[in-house]
Amino acid sequence: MTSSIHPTVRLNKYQKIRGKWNKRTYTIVRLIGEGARGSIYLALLSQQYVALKISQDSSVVSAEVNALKMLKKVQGQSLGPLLLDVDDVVLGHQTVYAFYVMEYIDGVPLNTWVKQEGLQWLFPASQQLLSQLHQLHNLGHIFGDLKPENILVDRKSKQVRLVDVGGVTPFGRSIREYTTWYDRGYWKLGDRRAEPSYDLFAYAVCLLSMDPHIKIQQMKSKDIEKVIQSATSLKPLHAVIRHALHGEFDTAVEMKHAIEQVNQKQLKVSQTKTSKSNFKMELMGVGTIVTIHFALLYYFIW
Amino acid sequence: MNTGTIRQILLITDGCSNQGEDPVQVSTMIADKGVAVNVIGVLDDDKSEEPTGLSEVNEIAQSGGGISRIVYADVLSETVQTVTRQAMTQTIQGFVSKELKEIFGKETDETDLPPEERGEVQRVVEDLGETVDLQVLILVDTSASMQNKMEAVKDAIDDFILSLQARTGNHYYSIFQFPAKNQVVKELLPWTNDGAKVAKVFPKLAAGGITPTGAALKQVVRSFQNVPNSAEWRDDSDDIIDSSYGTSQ
Ligand SMILES: Nc1ncnc2c1ncn2[C@@H]1O[C@H](COP(=O)(O)OP(=O)(O)O)[C@@H](O)[C@H]1O
Repeated sequence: MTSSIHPTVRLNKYQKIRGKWNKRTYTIVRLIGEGARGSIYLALLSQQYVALKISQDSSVVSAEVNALKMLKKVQGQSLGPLLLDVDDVVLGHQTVYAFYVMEYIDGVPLNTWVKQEGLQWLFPASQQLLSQLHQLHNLGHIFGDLKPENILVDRKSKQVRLVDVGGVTPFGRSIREYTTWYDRGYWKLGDRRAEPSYDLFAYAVCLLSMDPHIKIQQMKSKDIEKVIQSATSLKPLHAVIRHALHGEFDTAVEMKHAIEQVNQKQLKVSQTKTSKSNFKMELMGVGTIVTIHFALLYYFIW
Repeated sequence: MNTGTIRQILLITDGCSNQGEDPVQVSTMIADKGVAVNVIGVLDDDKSEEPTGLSEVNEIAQSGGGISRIVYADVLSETVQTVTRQAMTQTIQGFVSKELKEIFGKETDETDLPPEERGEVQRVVEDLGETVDLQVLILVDTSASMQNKMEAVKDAIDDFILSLQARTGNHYYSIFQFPAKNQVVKELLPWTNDGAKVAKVFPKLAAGGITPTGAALKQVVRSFQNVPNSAEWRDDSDDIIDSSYGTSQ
């Protein structure tokens, strides 16, 4: 009965999904992702694109719906995708599958974005992400499963958005969903009990993983210091990263300020660069004045 | 509320039993005693192995009211956690639907409730999952073919204990190996909640040739009597296990 590896559900293009309770009909467009907890599809509700998550395990749906409802309590900025519908659908041989529907975020995972657009994007992205994490922490929850794939940069607004709320955990509880490389337990640098520093650790590993010299999935060593040393493009951020990895930031805003300070310093250095500078400048690397201004511009808009 | 205790056996093996009792039957008996049997089948990392001999893995778990997975050694850690958690959730859901039945007076499954009301049930299930006492007996197949997977097994158990320690509820775990010199199973680590002990246990692992899975399961289940400070667990129906069914060979 439960011997399948993951509770994924296969749906076809153009397949109609009609909710048993709320009677809304969704047309499947394509698969967005498949994971340990179910499948997620791009779908259409009349003319509107939505993301539909369906799982063989109805408790996955209930748990994520609870998390999304909790996130709604944050006013203003939306943390995570907006929840639009929760329902069941009967498929095939009278099998009932639970699903939920949320806002589709047309975005690019942060790692892909940074690879395309340059490392300088880490500054504005970090500022945003850490404010969002701070708001979440103010609700007494951590995000848990923080990794670059779950941080999307909205193509239009260039806003950073968190997706995949399966790891959201109240403070003090054990973390049930995490990904090896971003989990401090794996590196033997802490426990798996939910507290803000757990997320900040994961974000520090996210930063490291975006250095072109790092292939986090291929790291055999469990010595994080070695990883930091090989992340040579991120030199100016090493101190901040190290701080986060050792649980020395208590809150997301502290980390946010620390990153902002590095950014300020970098900008100053780059302005006086013509005189003299032996400061490692890879972060700004290709950073022509144009891109710096570009990043700055976004930073102030955000 | 007294949240009770969840008892599980976690069997980590790489193949078919080849000696002694039928593990599928033994597993049914164990489930009757309120202990779920989870099984993880570990494939060789070089991906040369035929997973055919591993169908037994699923059968043992199914008859033992547990969860099974067949995986490569490199994902063993996450699998141990998933399997344990899912089996625990399954047990709790069984308990919760009994409660629902009392409330609604008929067989009620979570999916019979409108989605809006399921959130509450889910919260209860999560609360219980976090707070119940958990006893996990880890039974490791150390037959010759498992030898090169032992490092992965050790890492996975280490990692698993880390997750157990993060829970609010109490936990105890013990580790057994089978086969062992001159005996079917050997206790490597008696019941404990001390995570530091795993490291000391594993260098002792030595592999033998045969795989008496059924007999090993049958023997280890008794040790649930020895969990310190826990609600009494009685191996009442031991006689049923001791007799009545044949061997698989
Ligand atoms: N609302 C959404 N809009 C767009 N893409 C999404 C949305 N939710 C998830 N995704 C994408 O789908 C991927 C897989 O979804 P996820 O919820 O992580 O599944 P699982 O947790 O089962 O792996 C995510 O990494 C993300 O890139």
